[in-house]
Amino acid sequence: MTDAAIRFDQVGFRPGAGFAIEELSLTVPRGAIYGFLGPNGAGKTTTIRLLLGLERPAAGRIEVLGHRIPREAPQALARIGYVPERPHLHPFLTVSQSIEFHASWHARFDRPWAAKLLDEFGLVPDRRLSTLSKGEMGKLLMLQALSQRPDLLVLDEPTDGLDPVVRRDVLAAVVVYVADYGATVFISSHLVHELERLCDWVGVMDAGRLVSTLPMTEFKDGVKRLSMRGPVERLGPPPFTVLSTAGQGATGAVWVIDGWRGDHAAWFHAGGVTLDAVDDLDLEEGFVERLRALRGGRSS
Amino acid sequence: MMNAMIWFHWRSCRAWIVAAAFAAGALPVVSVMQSWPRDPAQVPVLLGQLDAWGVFYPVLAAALGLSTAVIVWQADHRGRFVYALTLPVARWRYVWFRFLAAAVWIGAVGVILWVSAVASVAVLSLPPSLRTFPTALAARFVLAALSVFAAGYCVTTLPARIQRTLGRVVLALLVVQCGALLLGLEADWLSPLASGLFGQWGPFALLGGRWMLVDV
Repeated sequence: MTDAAIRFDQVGFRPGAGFAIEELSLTVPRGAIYGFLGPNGAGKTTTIRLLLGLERPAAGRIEVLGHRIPREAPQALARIGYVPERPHLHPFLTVSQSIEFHASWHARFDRPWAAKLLDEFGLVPDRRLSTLSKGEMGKLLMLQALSQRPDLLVLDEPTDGLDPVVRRDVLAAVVVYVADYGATVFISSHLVHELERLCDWVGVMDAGRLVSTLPMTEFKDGVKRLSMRGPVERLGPPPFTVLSTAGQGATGAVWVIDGWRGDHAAWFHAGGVTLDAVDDLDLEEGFVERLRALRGGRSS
Repeated sequence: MMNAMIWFHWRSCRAWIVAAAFAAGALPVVSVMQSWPRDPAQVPVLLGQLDAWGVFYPVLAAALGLSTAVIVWQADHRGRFVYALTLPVARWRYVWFRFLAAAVWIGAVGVILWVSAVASVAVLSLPPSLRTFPTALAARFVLAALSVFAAGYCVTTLPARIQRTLGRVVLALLVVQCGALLLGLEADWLSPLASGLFGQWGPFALLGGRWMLVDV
C-alpha cells in the first residue's frame, strides 16, 4: 500500500499537435486537499483525464489509490468521485432518476446522505436535468460525487461560473466530507483565491509541465515582496530566487523573491541596502509571480 | 447494473420503442383484416394477399434493428462519453450492458408482435388447409431484428475514424456502381454483395424469404 493517493511518474501524453504533457511527475499525499493551479490550456484537464483512465499515457506510470491506470481504472473509479468541468449527466433524466441511475453503479453509494444533500442544496427531485441552471447542475454533480463515499474526490473547475452562494454551498459540502471521512481531494481551478482557503497542497501546471508542487504554507510563505533603498546594483548573488524587480537606488526598489528566510535581512545590511518592508503575497500574487518568472526564464 | 441499463435504455429511446411496438402490434391485425372464405379454391388468392403484407415484417425488423443500433449510443455521445467512461466498470462490460439492454427492448417489441399475432389468428375461421404460425413469425422477427441490430451495433461501437473510413468505402462502391450503370458497363458487384449478406448463409438471411402468419 502506497501513501500517495495519486502518483504520476514521468508521464508523457500528446493529445494532438501543438500541446503535450511531458515527463509529468506528481505525488498527491493521502488525505491532502491538493489544489491544481494553472492558466487555461496548461494541461490541468488533460492530467485529470489521464488520472481517471480516460486517456492512455504514451509514457510513464500512473497510480491512483494503489491501482495502475488505465489497466485497473474500474477498481480505482469505484473509489473516485468525479466532478467534471463541463456537465456530463443525461439531460432527459430528472434529478432523482439521475441520482438513482448513478447509485446503481456505485456499491458504496449512500442514499440517505444523498437525500440529505438534495434537501440542503435545494434541488427539486422531479426537475429534468435539461431545465437545471448551471448552479443547480453543479450542486447535483457534487451531490452525486460525494454520495459515492469516495476515497478520492477529483474536481475539475467545480465552481467555475457559479454564483458566490452556490460556490460556498458546494465547497462547504466538500469541506464537511473531508472532515468526516479524511478523503483526498484533487481540485483543479484557475480561481486561485478559492484554493487558498481550501487546500493544504498546491501544484502549478503550465504548458504541460508541473512547474511547482509544495505544501500551501511553503508556497505562500516563501514568496515575499521586499521594499528597499540603497545601492541594490552593488549587491552580490542573492541567497534566494529573485522572481521580479522594479525600481532601484535612492528612490527605492521592490523585489519579489522566492525562498525567503528571516536571516536574509543581514545580507542586505551587509551590502549597505536598507530593507524597509517584507510583505507577504497572497496565493494569487505568488502564483502569478512564479509563473511570470518561469515564463521569462523559459523565453530568455 | 443491468436493470439500471434496461431502464436507462427505455428512458433514452422510449419514443422509438413505442413507435416500433405500435407498428409490430398493428401489422398482424391489419394483415388478417379481410374476408376468410371457407372455399378451398380461394386459398391461393388469400395467401397472395397475406404474402403482400408479409413484406412489412422484415422491413419493420430491419428498421427496428438499425434504428436501435443508431440511437443506442446517442445519450453517451451527447456527454462525450465522459459519464460512461468514469463509471466503475470495464469498458467491454459497459458495451455488453448497452447491447443487452437494447436487445431486451427489441425482444419486448417481438413479444407485442407475438401477442398481436396470436390474438389476430385466434378469431379467424380458416379454411381447413391453412395453418397459423404466430410464434414462428414472432421468433423470426426478433432474431432478424437482433441480427441487424448486432451488425449495426458493431459498426457504431467502432472508433469514429474507422466508421468514417467504412462509410467512404461504401459510398465509393455505390458511386462506382452508379457510374458503371450510366456508362452501360456490365459491372455489378452490388448484387453479389447483397446475396452474400441476405443469401442462405449471410448474416441477414432471416430477412429474406416469405414471412407468413398464415400458410398451408
